[in-house]
Amino acid sequence: MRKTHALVQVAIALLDDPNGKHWGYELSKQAGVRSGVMYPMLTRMLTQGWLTDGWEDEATIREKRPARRYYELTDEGRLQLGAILQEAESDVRFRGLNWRFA
Amino acid sequence: MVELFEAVASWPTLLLTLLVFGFAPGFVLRLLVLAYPRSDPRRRELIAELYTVPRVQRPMWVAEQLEVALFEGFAHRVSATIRSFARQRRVPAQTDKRGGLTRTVAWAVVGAVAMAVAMAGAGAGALTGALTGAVAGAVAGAALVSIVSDRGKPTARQRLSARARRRFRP
Repeated sequence: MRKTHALVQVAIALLDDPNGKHWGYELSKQAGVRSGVMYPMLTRMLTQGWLTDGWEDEATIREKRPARRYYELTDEGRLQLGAILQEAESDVRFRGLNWRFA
Repeated sequence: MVELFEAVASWPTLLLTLLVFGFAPGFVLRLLVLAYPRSDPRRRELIAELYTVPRVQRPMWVAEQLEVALFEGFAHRVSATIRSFARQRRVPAQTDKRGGLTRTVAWAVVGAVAMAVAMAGAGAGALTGALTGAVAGAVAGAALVSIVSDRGKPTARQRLSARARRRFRP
């Protein structure tokens, strides 16, 4: 996957909570990436096996809304995204990013 | 000031607000997700996500989804259509029915080509032109039919080598 600002930002947001569930809208807010860029990226990560997805348990939803889709990092995903962030940290192009998790 | 307050609190403004922030986002998003194939989980995902977006941001968020739907949804649709079209072309080609259909289409093309050339000749006002056109059309059509009907059959060289193999078999 090509190392772009958006990918690095999404990687930072995902690795902020590497074992947690991530939701589309929250992830886009947290990473500061438009959904038009983020959803295709999530699809590519799913295809490459970096993420797994699932649906929220309807019994646990208190509000009146449908079940949402969540994404979880796989071991492979943690490794790959970690490597991307490690490379990006020393890259001049990504110096302005907010390295929260690092 | 009073006029401004009245304009803001008027029925049309209230209705417009309800439309833009209440009804329209869900309605438009449900139309947009139709761009995805029926089995694509993103259809359900986007509709579910809409309810977590703050109401004020919903119209803009839905507008953003147009981009996603166009680039992801339509791309899937187009590739799925091309794949199914290719599959339809490939599978019946192995049956006799397809061969018959192909020949019928080929004959129709022959007729059309011959007729078109003949009419072009007649339009030019020359009988010989029309005759020449008809003959040329028939020849071109016949060549087309022979190409179409010979598809999949062994070539002359393959037939010869098969005959030689049979003859010299120990």
